[in-house]
Amino acid sequence: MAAESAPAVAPAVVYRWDLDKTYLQTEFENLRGLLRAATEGAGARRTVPGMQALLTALSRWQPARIVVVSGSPTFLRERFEEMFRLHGVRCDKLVLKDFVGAVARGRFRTLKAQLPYKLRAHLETRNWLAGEQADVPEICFGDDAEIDALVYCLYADVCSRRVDATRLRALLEQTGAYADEVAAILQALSRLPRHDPVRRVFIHLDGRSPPARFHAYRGRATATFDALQIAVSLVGDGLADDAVLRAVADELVGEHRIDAHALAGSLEDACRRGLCSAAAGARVAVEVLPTSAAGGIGFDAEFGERVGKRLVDGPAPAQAPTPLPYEELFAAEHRFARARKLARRAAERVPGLGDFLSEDD
Amino acid sequence: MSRRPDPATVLVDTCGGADAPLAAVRAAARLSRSGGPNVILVGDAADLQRRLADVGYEPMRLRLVDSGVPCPPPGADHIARQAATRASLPAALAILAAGEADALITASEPQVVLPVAREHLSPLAPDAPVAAAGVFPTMPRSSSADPLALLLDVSGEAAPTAEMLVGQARLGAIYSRVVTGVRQPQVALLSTGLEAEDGPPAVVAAHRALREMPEVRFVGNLRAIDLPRGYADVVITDGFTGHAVRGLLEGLTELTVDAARYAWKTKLTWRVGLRLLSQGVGMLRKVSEFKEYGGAPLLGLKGLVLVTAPDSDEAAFGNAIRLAAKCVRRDLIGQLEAAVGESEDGR
Repeated sequence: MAAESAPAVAPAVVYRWDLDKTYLQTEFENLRGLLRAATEGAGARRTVPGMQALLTALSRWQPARIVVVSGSPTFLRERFEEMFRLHGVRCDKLVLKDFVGAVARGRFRTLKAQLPYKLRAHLETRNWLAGEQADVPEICFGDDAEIDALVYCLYADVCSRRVDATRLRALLEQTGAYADEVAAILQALSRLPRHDPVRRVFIHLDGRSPPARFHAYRGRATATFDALQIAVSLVGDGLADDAVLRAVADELVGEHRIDAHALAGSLEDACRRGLCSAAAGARVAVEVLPTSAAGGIGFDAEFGERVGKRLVDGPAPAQAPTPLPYEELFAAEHRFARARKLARRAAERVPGLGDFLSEDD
Repeated sequence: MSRRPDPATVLVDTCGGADAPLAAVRAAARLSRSGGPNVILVGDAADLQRRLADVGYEPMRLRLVDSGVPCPPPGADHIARQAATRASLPAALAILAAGEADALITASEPQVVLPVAREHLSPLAPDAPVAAAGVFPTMPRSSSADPLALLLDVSGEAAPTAEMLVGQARLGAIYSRVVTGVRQPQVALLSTGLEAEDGPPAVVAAHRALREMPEVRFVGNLRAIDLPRGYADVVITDGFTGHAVRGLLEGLTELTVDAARYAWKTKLTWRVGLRLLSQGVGMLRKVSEFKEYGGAPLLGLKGLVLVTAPDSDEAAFGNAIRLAAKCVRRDLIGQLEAAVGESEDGR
């Protein structure tokens, strides 16, 4: 369970994860949340419902590689390693941001900028993986707090050379990358064969962003509301087995008190948005969920049959990927982040008599 | 399997109302994000899904049910809207009647909702009255902090008998108690005068009966002019009169607000005057927002149906969902059933 030791078996798939707000419930919008994130012990860290079971189940398969790239500071490495050990997660590579080094060198843009840091980390870890298996496919997991969708899509496009070095250099300069960071990214890229490794990009809507925000990614980033939707999508595409889905359902029901109707709501939404087909969803409802802990809270085969009949197919998945307008996307993401910051400050409640009506008995 | 009692599950007919379905969709999405009651949106599911994608929501608390009829486009005429509602309402009521949800909210007119609701939901007792409630703003009342009083019946149906008026008074008092927490709400009859003998025979007979009922705090008759003065928490009248009174109150409120708006735009000196009166204007605005209260129920049926104003906006739908959840938490239907059962036993 060492942080950077790969198992002896050759890799068949890579699960590339972000940490904060994708796996961990972290608040870095306020000082208190930041302090808590920096000081909290390994055992006290709260995970996003269902994600611990999902990552644990995915990491159990020996040919899978788990790569975690996080914007958290390097001094938290030991705590995260301990946390993964406690969670039973095999993490093959953990990359964290060198905040202390950046401050020491007076590189304050590095503290905030995510794109140069994450893209470089993805490319360097890809080089590490390519040493074992050059064309190993990847499934990426991020969230809507920052620009994970953009970074993962760009990572796929630069690896496949759909975005060439000239455009990449200009884009990195637009996002505030330092010259040596740009050089390091281009160098890491030059060592990689021309191959698109990214099969799927899952964006967990931790901040409850409108799913339409990700329509600009032309179907290449899949917005998901919860771990169940990710598991359903993976199982529907044959990228994970039913045990992964059962594990997620077990955690949601057992630890987070999610009821049968909520599970059904999530499954219906997943099908309607095209995360999986209605047929695959119906199989999950009738055969898989009733045999998980959900079966004990009323999600039995009969309930599953009723849910299955309600499922409808959503839009068809995207065809062959095309390069995205990253320059525009980056500006749009920046605008969205600013708007969300302003909205967070505004009172998030229905005006008027709302308080009177929602008062507790 | 048995349905969860908590949190409540509230159905929303998205085809009713002038701002359909956007107002209902936005309200439901917002509440789902903030951990409110579970909501089932009934309407054109494909259209609802498209609209939800723009606002963000929590699918574990928000479900869609397709009514099989496309929702009319914005600006569609009244007839097109009613046609859509006539498809979505029965679909929603069937779910409510099957016990898969605790309450239904619709912005269709009570006179449209009531007959369809009667088809799907049984009455609390075989000959118990069924009435549509409405709310209206009053001056501060000594009995309650609630700025709004209840008006029964606003269904638009013809004059009832004295027994039905008495039954409505009992239902209205229980509803008012459940929602406002006032132990004994003040109940009045709308009539032509304050004396017991004033008004049509049914009202006179109902007056006599209500005076003898200890479980209802009857405060006598009220004239139409007394309605906003805050003399009663619940005012009972027949469906036709109630419908007309409610419409008149809404129209007058709109007129007052429009007049203030006109004054604001027309002259600088008037604007200055309004600025000086800002506190009073604020109160006026508060009163004008009474349609955002969240609607009022159909009383007398074994199922909770709340009818909101046809021009309900996002806030009104949000408050209606909260109001429905509150009624479910406080077991409104159970309390009404018990009260009607007791009165049936007493006969």
